Amino acid sequence: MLPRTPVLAMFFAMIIAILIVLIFEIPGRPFTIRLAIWLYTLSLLPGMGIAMLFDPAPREAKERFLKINFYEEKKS
Amino acid sequence: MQLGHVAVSFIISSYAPQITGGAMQAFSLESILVAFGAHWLPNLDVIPIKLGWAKDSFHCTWSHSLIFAFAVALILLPFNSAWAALALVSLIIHYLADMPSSVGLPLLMPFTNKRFTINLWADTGHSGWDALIGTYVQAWTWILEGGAFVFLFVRMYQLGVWPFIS
Repeated sequence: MLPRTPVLAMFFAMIIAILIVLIFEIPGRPFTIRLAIWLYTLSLLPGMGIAMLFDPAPREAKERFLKINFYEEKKS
Repeated sequence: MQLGHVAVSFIISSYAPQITGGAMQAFSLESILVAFGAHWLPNLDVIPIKLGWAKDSFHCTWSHSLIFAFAVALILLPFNSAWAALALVSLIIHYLADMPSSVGLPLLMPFTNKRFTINLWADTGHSGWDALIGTYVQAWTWILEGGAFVFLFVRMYQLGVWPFIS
């Protein structure tokens, strides 16, 4: 994995968290700082995935796994 | 999908009133148990494999077909129609959550063995540590499963459940 990938993940998580606040926040019930931290932390998960799209290692891993048949009969 | 099924089960439970016509409340213990039970039911096909009663290739076959989902719903229907509705939706959403895997799902079994997939990530086997690790070195599992946890957070916020109780 490239060193920039976790940094990109933090950036994408910020974008996701901001978008969710803008779209879903209920005016009378704003997100507190504690909840915003929770939201940002959770947003790191999909943020990491988006960052991994710009990293060759996950793509290579997918191609490697695609060559394996996990369900073929084991010969004894 | 692996760990994301946990978030998806809770999300289904959050829509229990809409799915059951108001017969069940969102995030009630009943709706959580039914949604979890039905949503995880297809993956119990690893039990006969682990016990040596079925081959590895049994995974993602009958338990991941539409006929299985309708059979489960039909079995539950005489006892509780709300359970049947929630179980049917939970099972179909399980199939949708598994469709991005390269293994593909034979949704139309027994009429055809054609497997349906959108192939966003490579399948890494039915169980075990290697399968789990292999799943999470791929990008789209993080996007979709992580996205499920974020969406669950939004649902909990919208419905004002813990930790959003003011």
